[in-house]
Amino acid sequence: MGGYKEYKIGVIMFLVVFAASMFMTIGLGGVYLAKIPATQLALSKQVHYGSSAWSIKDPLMKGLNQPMVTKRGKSFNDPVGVGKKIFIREGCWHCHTLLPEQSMDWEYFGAPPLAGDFVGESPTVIGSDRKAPDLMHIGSRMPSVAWHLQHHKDPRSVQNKSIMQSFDFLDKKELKALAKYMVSLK
Amino acid sequence: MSTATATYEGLKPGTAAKHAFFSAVVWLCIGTSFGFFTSLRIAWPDLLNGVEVMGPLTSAFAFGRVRPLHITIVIFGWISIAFVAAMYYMTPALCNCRLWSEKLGVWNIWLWNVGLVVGGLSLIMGANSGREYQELIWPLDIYVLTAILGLASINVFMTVLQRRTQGIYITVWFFMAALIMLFMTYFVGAIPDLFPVTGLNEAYMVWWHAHNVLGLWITPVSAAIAYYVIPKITGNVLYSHKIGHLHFWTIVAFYSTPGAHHLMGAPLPEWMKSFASVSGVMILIPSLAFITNMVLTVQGKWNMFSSNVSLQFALTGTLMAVPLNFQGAFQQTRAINWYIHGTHWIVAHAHFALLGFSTFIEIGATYYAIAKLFNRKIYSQSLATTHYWLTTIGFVGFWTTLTLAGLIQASGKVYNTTFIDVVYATHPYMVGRSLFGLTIVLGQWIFLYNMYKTATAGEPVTEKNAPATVYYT
Ligand code: HEC
Ligand code: HEM
Repeated sequence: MGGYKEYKIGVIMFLVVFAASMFMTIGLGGVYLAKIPATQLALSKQVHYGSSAWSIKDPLMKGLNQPMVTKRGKSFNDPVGVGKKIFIREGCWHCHTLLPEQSMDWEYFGAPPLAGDFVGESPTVIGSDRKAPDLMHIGSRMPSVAWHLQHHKDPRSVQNKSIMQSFDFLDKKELKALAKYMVSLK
Repeated sequence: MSTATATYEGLKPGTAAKHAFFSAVVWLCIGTSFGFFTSLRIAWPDLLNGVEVMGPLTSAFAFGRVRPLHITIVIFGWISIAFVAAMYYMTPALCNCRLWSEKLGVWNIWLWNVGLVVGGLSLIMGANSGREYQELIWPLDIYVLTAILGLASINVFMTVLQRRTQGIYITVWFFMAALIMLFMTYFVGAIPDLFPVTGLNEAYMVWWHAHNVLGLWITPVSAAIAYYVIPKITGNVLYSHKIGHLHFWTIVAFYSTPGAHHLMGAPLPEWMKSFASVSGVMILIPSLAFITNMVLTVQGKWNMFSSNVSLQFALTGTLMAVPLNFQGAFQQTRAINWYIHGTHWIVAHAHFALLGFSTFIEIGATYYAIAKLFNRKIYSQSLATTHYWLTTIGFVGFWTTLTLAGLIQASGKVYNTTFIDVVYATHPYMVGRSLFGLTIVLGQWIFLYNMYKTATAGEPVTEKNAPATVYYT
């Protein structure tokens, strides 16, 4: 390859410029965000959700490896955590957001979260597309588990103009977990 | 012809590119069809629910599972495979040598296809990472980084290393840079899957990834393809290499920085939002540099716009970049973002970028390359024109209905309308979107048919090195 242009300067410049650009955004931003302390809400979410991300131990995302709770001497997966996992699996977050915005949502969907409210939660599924109401405070708006059960099974039975599909294909336990998760979102 | 390091093993030059172009077009048809299907679910939510024959498929075809499938297939199936197809075709052509390894190329494409089938099945079975645009689970992320991106990069880089030209043309700079940048971007997106990164940090990485799959992969490579196709077909030389430099370096320096503009409503610190917003407006520099360069390259040859389908598609895509980038640069400033965030306006914008701009350019390149690779004329000029108009009219209607729906949703926010009334008010637009979407889908199946017929029954072109125009009569 003798006599060919080698583009050494170009290659070095490319690496330097790209690294600098990544450092400024991912590096500086990431360090700042990692230092945000957890709020009380974040701690309680950590207890209930555990890890809601996909894992080899739970390949079909049925919520098998959520934190355990004990009731009347029996231990089972925390339904709130299981519900969150189903929320992720069924892509509810492609219609609903979990993030009232700082600009305008106060009146309708309630107060926007604090930065520390998300610490330890993964994935956050805050969503970007709002074809449907924000759910961050749904537990305060709709505190009844029975309402959620009915709504998830057949949304048009409670709201005839809804474009939410019915989730009647979920089994009883999953529907219950989903409703408990909704109600937990105060 | 062969060089010492090349391995051909009985494969003709261009085999890998042929496999890649056809895989890409097949995924285009499948991906847009799934898009059409999800759009029906928004207009008529309970379509197929409770239908006896569906059985266990009811859950697989739920809206929340098919939407990620649509996105994954069009971005990582159609757009990205078409990119690598273009790389396998254009890099050797521009470096005056053969592809480093046709065999590796063919393997790469088939591993890619297998990965997409497995990935698609995993998505509709419910294995979802929960991170938008990064929805494949982590074992598949590792597969994407190694078997898909790793192998493709090795092939392209080795080809450039064994080139027999003095300089390297701008298209190839972009190819090489974009492969490295996509690798980094995909890796950052996969970090929360692989390591315990949580909270806003995770959300930020996910959106940095989502932004840069577009900014550091789709936008630069689409432009790179236009830099090849447009001068090649018109027979004009590129208007300015200096403007090309400006385009390249501004993309590397600050196309990646506005990642946070997707999180304007989230409690990120103010400095991150301001930084994103300001550097986001600077995106206008590379995009205007690119458009200027292309439009001036066509000087004196605009009559070819109506006679050459490849050019028609590639130039339409390039011109779409004008409104697209102005829309993008301004909608991410805080003054406008709060209004349209989370509405159908954004979905319209996403399709503007990926369908209007990127897909049009790649379709242009596909017509050009398939005719050249098989040394045959385009099978049917009228089918190609039909494809053009179905896609164009479909897209314009698609974009308009969604933008209007987005404005309705946005004004709903301002006037505190009951949410369900807004949902109801946008319903006709959702039906309209499905109809225009169907138009697009039909166009793509015609495209596949036309490409298949070109490869098998197109009239052979006898002269070697015939000018591009010969392929379209
Ligand atoms: C196609 C988009 C879509 C999907 C997917 C979707 N929803 Fe909805 N959802 C809506 C719409 C539209 C409404 C408002 C009308 C209504 O009450 O049904 C709504 C309303 C709701 C409400 C009541 C909100 C309120 O403020 O009254 C809850 C709770 C809810 N959805 C939960 C879910 C859950 C859980 C999932 C996933 C299993 C889900 N949704 C998936 C569109 C969707
Ligand atoms: C190659 C062409 C296409 C590409 C690259 C593409 C890409 C995308 C992308 C990136 C999104 C996510 C948008 C967002 O998150 O804001 C999306 C969503 C969507 N696309 Fe496409 N798309 C294409 C064609 C189509 C077609 C032909 C249809 C048919 C109707 C369609 C229907 C949809 C629907 C319904 C959604 C979901 C929107 C929502 O949830 O509100 N797409 N597409």
